[in-house]
Formats: sequence, C-alpha cells, structure tokens
Amino acid sequence: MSVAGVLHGCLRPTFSVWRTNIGRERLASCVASMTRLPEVTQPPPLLLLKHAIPSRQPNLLTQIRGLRSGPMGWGGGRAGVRTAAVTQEVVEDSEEAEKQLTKEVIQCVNQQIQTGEYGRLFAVVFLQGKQHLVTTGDLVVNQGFFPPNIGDELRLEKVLMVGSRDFSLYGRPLLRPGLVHVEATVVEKTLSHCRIYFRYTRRKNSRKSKFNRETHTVLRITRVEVMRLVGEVPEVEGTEGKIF
Amino acid sequence: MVITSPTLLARSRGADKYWKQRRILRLSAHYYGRRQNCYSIAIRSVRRALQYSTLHRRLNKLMYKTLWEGRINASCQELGTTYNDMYATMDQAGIALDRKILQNLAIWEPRSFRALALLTKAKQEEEGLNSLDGPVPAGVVTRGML
Repeated sequence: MSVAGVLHGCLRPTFSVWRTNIGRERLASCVASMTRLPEVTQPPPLLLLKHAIPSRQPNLLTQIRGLRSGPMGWGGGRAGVRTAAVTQEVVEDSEEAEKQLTKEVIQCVNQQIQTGEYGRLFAVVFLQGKQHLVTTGDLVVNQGFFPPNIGDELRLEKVLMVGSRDFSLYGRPLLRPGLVHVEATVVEKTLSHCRIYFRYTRRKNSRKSKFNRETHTVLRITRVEVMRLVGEVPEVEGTEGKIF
Repeated sequence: MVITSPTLLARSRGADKYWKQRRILRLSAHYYGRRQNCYSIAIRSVRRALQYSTLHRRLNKLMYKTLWEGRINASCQELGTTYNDMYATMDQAGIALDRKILQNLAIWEPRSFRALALLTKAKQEEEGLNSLDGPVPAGVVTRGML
C-alpha cells in the first residue's frame, strides 16, 4: 500500500514519500520526529563550579558561566536545551599534608646525596651564551674566543639543572652556587672546517667570497657531583673558592 | 741565448685556467653526470650550491627551532599539556632551560621532563590558565612558592 495517504493529515507536508521498504513503524517515528514542535524549557539555575583547592577564590570565568547564553553559533542559539550538572564536594585543607610530603621528598633526596648512591648525574650548564646537557666523560665544543689553554682545569659554575635517576633539581634560573660541582679540562684547541660565504648575482658581474674558520676549544667534562644537601642554608654565601 | 724579437702573431690569452677550474671541480666531485667533470656545467651548480649554503646558515637555526618545538610539543601532549603553555609557564616560574635542552630531556631524560611538565601544570592552575579543564593530578606541591 502506498504511504502517501498517511501524510495528508500532518502539519507540515513538505515532502512526499513513495513506496518504501523501511516499515510502517519506522516511518511513523520519522514523521513524528520531523513534525514535533520545539520544546520550551525553564532557564537553568546559576551554575557554580568547584575547584579542588578551597583556599582560592572562585574564578571570574566560572562565576559568569551560568549567567549568560553564548553567541548564536555556539550553543546559545539552541533554545535553552542544556544539561545542568551541579555537583558539590567537601574539600579538605591539604596544607599540612603538602608540607609533610615536601619534607619527606627532600629527606629522600638528601639521603641519596649523603650516601652518594645517586649514580650518574647529568647537569645543564651555561657556557658562553649556550646551554649544554652534560655528564661525566662528555665533550663540549666551544666556538669563538675562549682564553683557557690546553690542560687547564675549569669549574663551570652556572648550573641550571641537575638530575639523576631518581630526582631532578631545577634552578630558577640557576641553582645555588656551590650546590653542584661541574669540572672540565681543556683538551684541544683547533679551527673549524672552512665555511664559504659566497654572494653572487647572475648577469651582473658581481661576486664575492669569504673563507672563514672559527676557533674551536674542546672541553672534556671530568666531574658532575652534588656537594651540598637540598634545603641547606649556609650562614655566609658566595665566599667559596674566593681569596680575600 | 737572448731573444731580441717577439714571436710573430702570438697573443697572451690570460693566466692558466687549469687551477681555477680545479677549485670548482673539487667542490663538484660528488655531483651527478657532467656536472661533476665539465667546468662550464659544473660552475653553475657550484655557484648555486654556495649561494644556498650561505643563505641557509640562518635558516638552519630556524629549522632546528621548529624541530625542537615539535618534539617538545609531542612530549607535552603525552603528558596532558602543550608546548606553548609549558614554555610560558616556565618563564613565569623562572626556569630558563632552552628548547635544545628541553628536547634532549624529553628524549633522554623522560622522568625529569615529566616532573617539569607536571610542575608547569600545577603552576598553570595557580595562574588560572586552562582553568576550565579540571583539577590537576595530585602529587605536585608548590606551596605558593613558584
């Protein structure tokens, strides 16, 4: 039987359906969904979202979120169809627990430093404007003017970070002077490969070339070691290795 | 014996070209086909190559920067943050590690990188960045000191 007869009594007969095989029930549900009037719901109550940490003020963003509907394209255009999930939770004061955790972590790290069982250490060292990630036995190449001669032993004092298998210490931006000893020996002083600077404009009889070799100094890192405990505050700082 | 009269119809055609051409052909030794052995063809390729290397010394640095940023971003996304957020937050916290070091940490020192990323996430929460994403995982204690 043709189904065109079903649609005569509908509110919006904007289409005609020919003989189909989708079945009467399914067709009925399709028609019903297309001819249903839009729902009018109550506007939702004020949404107040909670953060995990109670001592901070609620965010301005979170407070105004429930007050206004958004621009037309972003969900404010749909007439009031929203899922309001208002949840409240009791948040405990975690300050003391945090302090305890900090103390325990620092204790673990200091124990490793005291017994010397941290294993191989790596450090991020600042040298001549560049940062290098070094460990014992590494070679570091320095480009440009570098006065120390072959055989000189240096201590690289600007250490940004030190790390081992179980802990990492980050400086802001540098670690405390004297915390880490990174020592290096100058091994080689050479020139780099020849860099050709060549400028050429075709058909204009214009060309110039420059042949440049930079001085390279090679350092061998001999030692990366943590000398002080974390959290230790000396009475006088900055006098180590200085002669007065 | 002294030659008192010049040779008839002889001209000076210029300096010896052999060594001049050798300088160019030495640079084109690894090229394909006639460009490695025939001077007038090689000179074009060599000039272009030298120009490119001169100009791209600057580009090299930008390419490395892009590469490092991509690597750091990939590791950050594994840990639930993004490169932009992490780098900005590190600046606010006062940690001055550069991109070269960060990408090395991300590859070779994953534990340290993870610790740093979680630290920046905690700092972000304090600053109010990405505050609608939800709470930070536990275990990071800043005590307001960052």
